[in-house]
Amino acid sequence: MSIDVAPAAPARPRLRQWDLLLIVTGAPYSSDLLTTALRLAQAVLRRGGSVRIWACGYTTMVTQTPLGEVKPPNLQHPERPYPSMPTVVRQLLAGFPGRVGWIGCTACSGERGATHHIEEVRLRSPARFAATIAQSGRTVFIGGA
Amino acid sequence: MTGAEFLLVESQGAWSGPMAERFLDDGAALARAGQRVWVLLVQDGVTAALPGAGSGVDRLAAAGATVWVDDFSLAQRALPADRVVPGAAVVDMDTVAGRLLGDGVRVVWH
Repeated sequence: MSIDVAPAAPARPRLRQWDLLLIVTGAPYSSDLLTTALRLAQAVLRRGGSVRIWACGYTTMVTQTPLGEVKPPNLQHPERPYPSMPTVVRQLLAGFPGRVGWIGCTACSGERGATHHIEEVRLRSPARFAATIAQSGRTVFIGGA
Repeated sequence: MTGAEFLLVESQGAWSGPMAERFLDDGAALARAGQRVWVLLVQDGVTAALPGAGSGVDRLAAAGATVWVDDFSLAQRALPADRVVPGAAVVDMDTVAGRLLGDGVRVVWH
């Protein structure tokens, strides 16, 4: 009797590992949650680490192109431009090239009509959530549903 | 289970409900069980470290946990850093990042 043995599957390429994955789900303007998450990301980057931010839920709203490059004028300082959230994200990504990534959840974006993101945002299906976590040395889930 | 390290992050104030206080007690319970515990109070969570806010920070300190208070969150709320209770220390986010990246540290955010 012989037993057929399936050929060994080809070795999968080793995926890059990131030091930290921040999954941020909260509504961005209801508290300083997103500010805290960005401060933590910056601190990790300043220490030489690498960070991915998975924007989920209402956090997907902050990288939309219709928000423009600056916020509406502050009436107390109308001459001073304040960067919009897409600009803040863009500056973060440009400031630490190759060590920070911003992922937008496709389902959360679609549900909220937030479908026009800045080009730096990598869109991912929630089906890749577990794979993204597996690529991270540490995952921190921040915010509510 | 011994030897684990936990970084617990409390971001909510006592008025958000009873869970903030219970979260601090979870940290105290872990510390009493022999784990190394750091608790970071951030955003509205910094109010737990003010005098008269409750005894959560005292219970954490008594259990052997380290309690940190985010300097930026204090400043944003016009709360002087020298007002925090003696059982807590004011830190910056770079200090938190260093702890977070430590080997084997488990992070829980509330």
